[in-house]
Amino acid sequence: MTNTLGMHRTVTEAVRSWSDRLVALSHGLHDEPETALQEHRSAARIADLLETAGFTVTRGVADLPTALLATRGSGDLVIGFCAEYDALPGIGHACGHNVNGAAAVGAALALAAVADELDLTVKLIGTPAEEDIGGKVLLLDAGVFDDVAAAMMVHAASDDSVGASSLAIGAWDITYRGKPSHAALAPWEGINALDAMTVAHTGSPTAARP
Amino acid sequence: MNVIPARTRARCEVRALTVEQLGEAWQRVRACFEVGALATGAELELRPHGRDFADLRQNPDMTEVYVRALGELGRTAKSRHGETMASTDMGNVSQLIPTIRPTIGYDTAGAKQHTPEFTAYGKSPGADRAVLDGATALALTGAGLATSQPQRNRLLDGVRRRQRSQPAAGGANSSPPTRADRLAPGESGAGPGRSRARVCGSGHARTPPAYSPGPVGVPAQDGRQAGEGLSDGRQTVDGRRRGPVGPDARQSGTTGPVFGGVDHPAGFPWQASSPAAKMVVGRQMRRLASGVKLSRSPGASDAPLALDSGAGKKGLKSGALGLLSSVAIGLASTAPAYSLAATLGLIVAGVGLQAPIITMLAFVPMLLIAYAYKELNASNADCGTTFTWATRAFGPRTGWMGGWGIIVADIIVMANLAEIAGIYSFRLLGYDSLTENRVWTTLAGVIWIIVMTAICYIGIEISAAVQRWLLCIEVAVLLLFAVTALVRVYTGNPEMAIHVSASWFNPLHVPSAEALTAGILAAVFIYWGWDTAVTVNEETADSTRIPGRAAIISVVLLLVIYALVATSAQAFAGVGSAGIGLGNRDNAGDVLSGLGNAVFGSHGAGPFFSKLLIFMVLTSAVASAQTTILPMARTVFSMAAHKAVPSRFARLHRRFLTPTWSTVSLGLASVGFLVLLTAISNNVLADSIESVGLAITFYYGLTGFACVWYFRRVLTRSRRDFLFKGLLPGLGALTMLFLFCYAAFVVYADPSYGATSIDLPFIGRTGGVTVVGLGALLLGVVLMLVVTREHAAALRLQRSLLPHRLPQPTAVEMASRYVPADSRSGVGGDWFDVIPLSGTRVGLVVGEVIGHGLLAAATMGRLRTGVRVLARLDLDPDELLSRLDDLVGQTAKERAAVHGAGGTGPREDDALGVTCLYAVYDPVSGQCSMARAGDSMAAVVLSDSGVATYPDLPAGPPLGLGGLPYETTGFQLPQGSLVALFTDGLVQAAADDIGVGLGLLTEALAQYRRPLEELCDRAVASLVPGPANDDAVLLLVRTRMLDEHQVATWELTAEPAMVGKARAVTTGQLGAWGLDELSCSTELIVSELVTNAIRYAAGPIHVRLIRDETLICEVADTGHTSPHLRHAATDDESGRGLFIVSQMAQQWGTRYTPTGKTIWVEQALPAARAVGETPS
Repeated sequence: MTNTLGMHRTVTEAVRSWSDRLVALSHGLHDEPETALQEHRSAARIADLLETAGFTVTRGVADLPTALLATRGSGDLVIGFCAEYDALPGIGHACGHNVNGAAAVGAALALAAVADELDLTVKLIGTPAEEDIGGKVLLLDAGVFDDVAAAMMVHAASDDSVGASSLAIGAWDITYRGKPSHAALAPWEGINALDAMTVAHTGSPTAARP
Repeated sequence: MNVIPARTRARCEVRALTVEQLGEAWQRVRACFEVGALATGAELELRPHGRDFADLRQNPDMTEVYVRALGELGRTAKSRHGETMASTDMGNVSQLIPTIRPTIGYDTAGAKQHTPEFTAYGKSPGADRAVLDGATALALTGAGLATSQPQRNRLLDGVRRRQRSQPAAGGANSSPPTRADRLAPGESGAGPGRSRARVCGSGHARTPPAYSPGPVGVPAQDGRQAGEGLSDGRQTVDGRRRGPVGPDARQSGTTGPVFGGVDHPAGFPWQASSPAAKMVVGRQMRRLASGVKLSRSPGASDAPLALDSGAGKKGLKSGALGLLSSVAIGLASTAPAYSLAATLGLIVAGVGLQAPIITMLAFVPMLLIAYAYKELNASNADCGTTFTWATRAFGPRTGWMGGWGIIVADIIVMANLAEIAGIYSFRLLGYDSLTENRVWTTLAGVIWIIVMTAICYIGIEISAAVQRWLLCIEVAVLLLFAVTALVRVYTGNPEMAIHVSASWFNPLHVPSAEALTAGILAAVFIYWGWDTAVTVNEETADSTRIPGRAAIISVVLLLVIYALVATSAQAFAGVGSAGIGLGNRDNAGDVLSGLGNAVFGSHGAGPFFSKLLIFMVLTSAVASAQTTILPMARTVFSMAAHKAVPSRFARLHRRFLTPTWSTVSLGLASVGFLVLLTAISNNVLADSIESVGLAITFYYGLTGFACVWYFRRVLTRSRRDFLFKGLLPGLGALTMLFLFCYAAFVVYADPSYGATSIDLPFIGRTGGVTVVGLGALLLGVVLMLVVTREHAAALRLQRSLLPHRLPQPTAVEMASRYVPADSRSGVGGDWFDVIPLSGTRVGLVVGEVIGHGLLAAATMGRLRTGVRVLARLDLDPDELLSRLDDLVGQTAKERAAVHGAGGTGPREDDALGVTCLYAVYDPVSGQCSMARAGDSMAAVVLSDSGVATYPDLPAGPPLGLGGLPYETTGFQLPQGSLVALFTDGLVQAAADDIGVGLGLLTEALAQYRRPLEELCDRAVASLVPGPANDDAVLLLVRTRMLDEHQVATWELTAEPAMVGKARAVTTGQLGAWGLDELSCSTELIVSELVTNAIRYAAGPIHVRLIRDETLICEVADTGHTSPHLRHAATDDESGRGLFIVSQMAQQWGTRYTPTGKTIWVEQALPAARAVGETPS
C-alpha cells in the first residue's frame, strides 16, 4: 500500500523547492508576452526549466515550433498537463496564461517527484495559440495525446471553480469579391461587396440568449 | 473615395453548446452569406479560420479528486456545473480524454479576463500563490488518480480503448469533425447565380469513429439521441421517419454570427434547429445541471471514469484494501483465538465429546448469511450494509433498526473486548493480581479502546496493516498449538488425552436435541465478525466483488481453524470436568491459557509459548476491538449519509478519508458504556455482554430476509439466483430468527441463566440477559422515532402534495405509478398531475425535481402548484413552461441574492434543473399537444396501429436554466390511444441504456387494449424490477373522444341580429339534449356573451355547446381583450353582462387562442343527466 501521507508531503515539498523558479517563470512569461504561434521565448523558458529538472524535452512538435513536449517517468499511466503560454495582442497576458503555464509546469515538476513511486509517466504538453487557432487541436491530431490517460490544467481567474463547461466555437473568414466602379457616375457598373456583407449581416438570425 | 467597394472581408464566429450543434448553427449562418452573394452578385469565399473548438466536458471523478486536493491547501472551489464559459481548445482534449480545467483564482479587483486590468494582476502575490497552489493541486490530483486502483484501471482502460479504436491513422482521426466534415455531400458550392461557396478541406464523413461514442445523453454521430435505439422502420407519430438530421431539419430556428476576435467571455448557445438537436440541448443541459446524476455507459470511449450508482461515492478512501486485507479484517474482527478460549468450554460442557461437530454445524447458518451479504453487496456496495439493504428492502424504519442492531452489538462487545484486553495485558506483563481489580482492568480497557479508535481514525490502510500483523500472530500460534497438541496426544500420551474419534463428528451422538440447540447457539457467535469485511466495501479496490468474497473466505477459514483447534484441544485435554479438562467450569472463561502450559510444557521454550498463547488472546481481543469500531463507524457514517442520523456523523477526515465524527463518537460511546456499566454493576455488564447474541441474530437475520425480499422479483430468473439470492439466505434468516427467539424467550429468559434477573410486570421473573438484549433493541425503536422524524415528515409532506385521487375527467381514462428511489430512503421529488381544463380538455403533467428529502418534496409541491395555477390560465404547453421557467429562475435569483448577501455564498434553488413535461388533450378534436423542459418523455400508442412510438418532442432546457424557448408539438390521437408520460428514472432503472428501457416499455405497452392498471403494473414490473437510484413516474392515459352528438357548434357573423339566432339555436340544441331545464339560463348566457362579442370584437363569432359532465357553453371571438367582471353602479348602462353570467355559472373563464379568445361557462347538469345517458 502506498504511503499516501508521505506522497503528499513529497509533492508539496517539491512545489516548495521549485517555488522561486516557478514564480520567476510566471513573471518571465508575463514580462515578455508573445502572441499565438510567436511564443518562442516563452516555450524556451519552459523547456529550459524542465530540462534542468531532468525531463526529456522535445522542442517543437507537430510542425508547431512553439509547442513542446516534456516527459519524465516510465509508468504505464500517463498524466498529461497542458501548459498554455500565449498572450493577447496588445494587452499582454490578459488571460493569465503566464499563471496557467507556470502552474502546469509546477504540477509536472511536483508529480515527477513521485512518478516512480506511483509508477506513472508525467507528460507536460506545451500547447501554443490557445487564443487563436488552438494548438491543442493540432497536437491531438498529431497523436501527442494518444497515450495520455488524464489531461489537466488550471486556468487563471478571479475565483476558484470547477466543473464549468465551455462553448463550442468555429470561426470562418468570409470574403466577398465584387466589382469596383464610380459610385456616383456609374454605380450600376459595379458589384458592391459591402452591400453583400451588409445583407449577410442583417440577414443573420438573432442569437438566443440562454 | 466614391468607389463601389470591390472587396469586403469579415471573420464570423459561431458558438454553440456542443460541437454537434455548431455544425447546424453554421449551416444557418452560411445561408445568410450565400444570400448576400445572391442579392448583390458578389462572389463569396468561405474559409475556416483554425479548427473548431469543442465544448469542454470536465470529468466529475477527476474534479472530485482535484477539489479534495485543493481543499488541503485551504482553498474551496465553487462548482460551476451547468455553467458555460468562453471557448477553449481544451474542449477538444476533453472530448477524448478525461479532462479537468478548473480555474484558479486570485484577486483581480473585479477585473475580467482579456482586459489590461486583468493583465496587471497577473504578476501579483495572489497570482504567484495561484501558480504554486494550482501546481500542487494538479500534482496531488495526478497522484490521487494514480494511487486509487479503480481510477487508475479505468484511466488505463480508457487509453487502451482509445488506442484500439484508432488504428494506424495515428491521431488523425481523434479530433472532432473538421469544418468541411460537417457539410453534407452536395451542399458545398450550391449557391446559384454568380455566388460561389468555396469549401476548404476535404472529406465528407460526418464524424470520425473515435469521436462518435458519446456518453449517455450526448448524441451519437448522426445527431440522434444515443440511447433512443429505435429501429429505423419505426414511424413517429406524425408519420415521418425518424432519421438523421438532414438539411431540411436545419431550415428553422435561429442562429447568429458574432463578428470579432476569438474567446469572448460571453457567448450565446445557439438555439438548435432540429428536433433531435433540441433533445441534445436539453440532455446536455440536464447533464450539466445534474452533475453526476447521469452515469456514463461503460462503453463510452471518452468516459473511462464511469460513475457508480451512488454507493461508494461517499468519499471514503476507495481502493485502499485488497482481498487479503479484507479477509484479514473479516477474520480479525471475529477474534478466533479469544472466541474459542471463551466459548469452547461452554460448548463442551453442553454437548460433551461432540464439541467439534457443533463448531462445524454453527458454520452452516453463518455461511448462508454470508451469501446474503455477498449477493446484496454485489448489487449495492454500501458501507451501511444491513442498514442500507434493509432500508431498500423493507423501508427506512426497518433499515434503521438493522443499523441499530449493529451498533448495539458492537458497543457491547467493545466493552467486553476492551476488558479482556485489559486483563490479558496485565497477565502478559505478570501483574496477575491486577487482573482481579475492576478499576485497573477497566482503565486498561479504556486505554485500549482509545488506542484502537485512534488507529481507526488515522486511516483504513493502517488499520489493515495492524490487522494483518495481529492476525498472522494469532493464526500462527493457534496452528502451532493445534499441531503440538495433536503430536503430543499421539506420541507422548499425556494423562487426560483421548484419541480423535469419528463419533466426535456425529451430531446424533449429542445427548439431547436441547443440548444440540444450546450448543449451536453458543457456537454461532464464535463466527460473528466476518461481516466487517463487507462493511469496508467502499474502501476496497473492487467494491462489488472483493467484500463478498472476503466474507465467504473468512467464514470458511474460521471453520477450518475452529474445527482443527477444537478437535486438537479436545484430544489433548479431554472433556473431563477436572484440571485442564475442557468440561471444567472453572476454566470456562478461558480454556486455552490453561491448556497452553500443559501443551507447551514448563521447560525449554514452553513458558515462552505459553506466554505467546496469552499474547495471542490479547492480540485477538485487541484486533477484534479495532475491527469492531470499523463497521460501527461505517454503519453510522452511512446512516448519516442517507440522512437517517444527524449529518455531522457523515463527516470525513480530509486527509485520512475516514469517518471522523462517527469513529470518535462511537469510541467514546464504548468507553462510556464500559465505564458506566462497570460502575453500576459487574453483573449487569456480564449480562449485557451475554445479550449481544440477540443483537447479532437480529441483524444477521434481517440481512437474510432483506436479501430474499430485495431480490424477490429476480428469484425466478435462474437457478443460481434462486439458490444464492433466495433459498440460502432465506434458510439462514430463518435459522437466525429461530435462534433469536430461542435465545430471547427460552435460554436467556431463564431467571437462572445470567447473573441477574428482573421481575417484570405481567411476565414474571425474567433473565437479565433477555431484558438487556431486548431492551437495547427497543431503545433503538424509540431513538428511531425521534431521529427519523424528518424523514417521516418529508414522506408525509410528499404524500400530501401528490394527488391523492386523480380526477377522472371524461377526456381520458388514467392510471399512474410512482416508484420512489429507495436508495435515499423513499422520498423523492418526482410528481405527476392531471388537471381538468376548460372545454373538457385535460392537462397532464410529469416532472422531476433533482434531489431527495424534505427540500425536494417541498420544491415539488411548489412547482406542482405553479403548474396548476398556470394551467388554469389555459396556456399552451410551451407558454406554460416558459412561465414556469421564469418563476423558477426568479426564485433562484432571489435566493442567490439573499444567500450572497448573508455571506454564506450563493445557494442554488432546488428547483433549478427540474424537468417537466406538460401535455394538453382535447377530447373534442382529439388533438394532443405537448412541450417539455428537460428529458421527461412520452410514449404514444395509436389505437389504429397499436405500436408504441416516441414522439419527437423538442426538449427545452430544464427549468430555471435560461430562456431558450420551448416548443409545442401537436398530434392527432384516434379514440382509445394510449399516452404514457414518464420521467427518465423509469427507463433508466433497468439498464443504463435508455434504449433498453424504451424497448421494455414498448413491450409492456404492446397489449395496449388491456386495462390501464394492468399495463402500469406490467411496465413497472419490467422497467423497475428492483430498487432504483432514481424516482420513476409513469402516468398512463387512454384517450376518449366526445361523441359528435355531445358537441354542437355554430358560426355567426358579427351583427346584432345574430344574438337572436344564437338564442334560438341554443334552445333548440338543449331541447334535443333533453336539458330544457337549463335552456333559460343558457339562453341568457349565450345572448350576453354574443352581445359582448359583437360589441367589443370584430369578425366571426363561434358558439359551442358541449354536453359532458357539465354543460359547457363557449363563445369565441377575435378580440384579445380581457373580459372584466364589474359591479355596475345603479345608473350604469352597461357592465352587468358578465356579472349575470357569473351568477348563472358553476365556473367560467377565458382562454386565448391564436385567433382571439374564448369565454367558457360551465353549468351543472340537472341530477342524473350525466354523460352517457344522452338521448341520441
